[in-house]
Amino acid sequence: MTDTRVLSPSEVAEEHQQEAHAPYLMVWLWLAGLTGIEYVYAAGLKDFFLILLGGLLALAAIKAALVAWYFMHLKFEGKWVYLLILPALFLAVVLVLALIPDLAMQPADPEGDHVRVEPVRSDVEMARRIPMLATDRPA
Amino acid sequence: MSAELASSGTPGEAPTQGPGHGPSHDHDHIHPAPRFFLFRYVFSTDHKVIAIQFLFSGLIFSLLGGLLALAVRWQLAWPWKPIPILSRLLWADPSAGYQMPPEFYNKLFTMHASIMIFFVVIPVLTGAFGNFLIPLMIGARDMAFPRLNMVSYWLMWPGFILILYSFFVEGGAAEAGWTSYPPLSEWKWSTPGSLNGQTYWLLAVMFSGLSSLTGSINYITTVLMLRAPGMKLFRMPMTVWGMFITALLQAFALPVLTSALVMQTLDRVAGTNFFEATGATVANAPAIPGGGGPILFQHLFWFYSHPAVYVMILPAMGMVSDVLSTFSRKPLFGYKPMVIAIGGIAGLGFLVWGHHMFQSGMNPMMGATFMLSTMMIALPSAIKVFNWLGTMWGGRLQYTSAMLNAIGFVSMFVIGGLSGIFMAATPVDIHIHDTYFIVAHLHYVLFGGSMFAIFAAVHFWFPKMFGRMMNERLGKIHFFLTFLFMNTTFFPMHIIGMHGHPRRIADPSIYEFLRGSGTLGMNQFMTVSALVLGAAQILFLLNFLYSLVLGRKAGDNPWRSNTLEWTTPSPPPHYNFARIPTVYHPPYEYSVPGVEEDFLLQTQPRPAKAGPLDPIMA
Amino acid sequence: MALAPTDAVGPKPGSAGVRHAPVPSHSAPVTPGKVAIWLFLATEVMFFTGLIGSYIVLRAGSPRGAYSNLYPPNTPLRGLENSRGVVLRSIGPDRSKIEEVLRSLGDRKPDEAEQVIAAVPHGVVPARSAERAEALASALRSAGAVVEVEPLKTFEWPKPYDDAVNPLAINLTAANTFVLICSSVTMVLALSAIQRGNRAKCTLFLLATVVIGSIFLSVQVFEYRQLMFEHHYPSGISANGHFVPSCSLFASCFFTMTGLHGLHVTAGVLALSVVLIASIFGAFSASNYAAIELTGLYWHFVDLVWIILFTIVYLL
Repeated sequence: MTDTRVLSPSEVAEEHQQEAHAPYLMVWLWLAGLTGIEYVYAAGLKDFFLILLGGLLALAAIKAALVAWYFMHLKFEGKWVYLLILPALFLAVVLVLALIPDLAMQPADPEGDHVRVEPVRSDVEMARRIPMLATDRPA
Repeated sequence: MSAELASSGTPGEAPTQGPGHGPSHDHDHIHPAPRFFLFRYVFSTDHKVIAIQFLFSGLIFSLLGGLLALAVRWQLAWPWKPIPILSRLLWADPSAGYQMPPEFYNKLFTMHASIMIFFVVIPVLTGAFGNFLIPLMIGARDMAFPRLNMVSYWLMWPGFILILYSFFVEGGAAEAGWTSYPPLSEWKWSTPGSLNGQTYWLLAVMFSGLSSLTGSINYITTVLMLRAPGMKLFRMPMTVWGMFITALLQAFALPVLTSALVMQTLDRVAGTNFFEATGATVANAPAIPGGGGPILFQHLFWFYSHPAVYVMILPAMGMVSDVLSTFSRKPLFGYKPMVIAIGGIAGLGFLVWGHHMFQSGMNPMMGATFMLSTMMIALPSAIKVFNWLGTMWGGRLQYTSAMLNAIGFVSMFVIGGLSGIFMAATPVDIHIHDTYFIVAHLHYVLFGGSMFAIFAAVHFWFPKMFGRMMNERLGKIHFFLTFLFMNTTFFPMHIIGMHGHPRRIADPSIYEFLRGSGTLGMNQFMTVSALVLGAAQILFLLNFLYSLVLGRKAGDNPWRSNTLEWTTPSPPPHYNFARIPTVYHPPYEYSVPGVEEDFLLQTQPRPAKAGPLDPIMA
Repeated sequence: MALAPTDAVGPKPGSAGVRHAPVPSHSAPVTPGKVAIWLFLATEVMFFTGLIGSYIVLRAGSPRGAYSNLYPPNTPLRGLENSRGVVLRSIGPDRSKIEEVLRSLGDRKPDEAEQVIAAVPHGVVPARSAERAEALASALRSAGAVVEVEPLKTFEWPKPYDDAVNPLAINLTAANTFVLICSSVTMVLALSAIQRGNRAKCTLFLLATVVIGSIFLSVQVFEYRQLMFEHHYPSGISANGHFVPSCSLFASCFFTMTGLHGLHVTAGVLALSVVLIASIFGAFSASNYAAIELTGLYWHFVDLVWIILFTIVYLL
């Protein structure tokens, strides 16, 4: 072994203990509060997608960070944990970014907003797919 | 002591070791092996037993995979002619003249690839050799989690059973290729194999993936936490480095494949729409809402399966490095650059998957990006090849069968690597995509690469695994036959590929330009070669089984090699090391000046007059 | 197997500071179990990346018109731009009259009328033009129903809180999110208790975690039942009135992501139950609590994933 004195688990536990309970309950209040804020925010701003998106993602990120930092003890762990998690997060971002050009960027639709697909279906098939379509039936 | 991470002292200083030192010495008990047969050899937690279990199941499945390949070759050389013996057994329909049903050809290449990749090469390289060598080479008594290790082997079994059972379900085994692209793999009515077989295929591959995932978590933890005193990261043999980085690749890439397989399974059984285009339908089936992207599956699939290509070559590279250095009686040329090159290949390997999709209608901007990153992989790969050559250069080469197979690996990897650069370039790939050129390339890397490395590794570590030597003469005959007929089987595929011969086609003669005697003649030549190649493997099998029982007894260190496994008896006892060894130097100290022998075990200190190690290259 | 110590104490990997400085670090000890569980969580990150990443790009690529308030998801809307929808808010006193009016439209399937009535107060009957819609609306009104006529509205993705396209019950799930957060707190308190050697408290908190986790799962099962079988939804959500995985890409993503998360919660509850039983039998102490810590890490991760899923699937 090296000459390093390393904390035994019980010593670490003692250290935990001093700051243990109070922050956990505080974190709990924070999480509950943030969930409430999310709920109100989402209900109030449901018609403004970009504002909704930015705000909610920020709130979710804060909540996730609180869980990871306090409950998952990232606060107490060494840097090695990041060696495992950060590559995964990096690859996660790479994967999603690489999917965007092929899947998220749809070719511009020349015929306007409402048109989804090219083939024009017959009325018969339309009626088969949409049973209650009051099309050519007597109203 | 075994549990200490980075337990070496400061560089150059001999690490201390002894009872009573350090907090974890209590755990260094030597446990006796279980007495009861079932726990000793079947549900064993011993990494060596599990390794041999992986090895045997992999070899058995390789027989099946090989037979499927020969059936593919038969059909290409003599389309629709009944295969001797097999035809009567498999599809005994005299009215059709015992000919192979057309969809059966699709099953053949699909299952050949799936079995060889998921049930032979990956389990043998990582499951068998990774399991056997990692603890022995880093000086540990076992894996970090022996029971998890056992679970990872037994997770293969549902996979084995499902993939075999899929041949007998209605519609037969999967037919959508090992890539399992939708919509062919999703619409049950698109082809008989997609009726049921595809679902079994998906589940089988998922189980195989879970096995690899649990295995890789175990390997990484073991390498990080259980190294013997003095075994610094840059004192680990290349084999361990290869296995370690492979495990990292699997840990980060496999879950994405699992998610894709889960989504495809749900598309098939729960009617979800992930990989179905809007309103997609064929053959008057009811239209589905769709809205998903078939190309999404390709992305997710290759995000794993390109790294999986490296999963099948990096352990091989590591093992070959050890074999080459041992039989050149010379230090591995550029040990640290070799490690960094493996890391570079693995890192870049995550960013190149799109080169499998150049012809998929992918965004051209992405195509250029993926082309660039793919080209860059040639750099670390070339570093490795030149370092292998540098290792052999000026060495006192010993042409054992292990060495011959390792040299075969290097030379075939060069051909496979160079043909890879062709298809990395998008303009060239437009021409050769989905032709036999690709088939040639992948077989040069997978057969010429991985398989030769497996042969080399089996010959090299057989004495350690079973305590007996393999027959050298048989080994050499096997090598020369395999080397010759591997090339005659796969090299002409480059030519017919450039000529435009598509892959995955049962009868090329439907195209006029493939009807000529040239193409057909080459196909027949390749098939005859493949049959001899297959027959040559009987020699290997005989040698393996014969040596298992009647081979010459091997000593502890028959190859006079340096790494820790050779300090144990052959085969190693249940606890591996009577006393956890202390490591003093990197593993490639051959022909060190001032040492009587031409090798220096890692457990022996370097003599002072040998001088310091090169800080960059060693 | 005892060969593999789980409570070995050693310097952290990759942290030169500990090795060189003799000062005790504030970092927790590194054990093989912890390395393995964090690795496992990294693989879980990649697994959920596969699912959530697919959801993100599929959703971002979903064109306007994929969802509408009148027609089932991914109906080709060409030629239907002028549609109006007759929304049946209430059927009034005489159900049979309404059925009669609706039956006079739907001559193909006998249960179409029931489907629309079951979806009240959001039973939607699409009509191709304003005249037809008004005619149907007045027929229904004279039969005693409360109806509205709505123009066609299209969406790229079902909008939260819009009953015509999105069936998800946000209030219920917000409460359920709170429930899962509570279970995370009890989990961490269980660990904290055993670290101070308080076995009884630890067992109680573990029990609380198992119970609260089960409540979360039960609510999710209840929610699934409502969506898939009990409730009837208007045509903008599903062609057949039930929100099932096959009815739209939105449904596929919703059920796959929340379902696989649910499976993880189930696995967590099972693992915690084993830990709870071990704790009841006194398996843990202030120096031996690795199982609680590792299971806890997994449990918090599952909670963390839910925080993200609740936001991006329900609220956005």
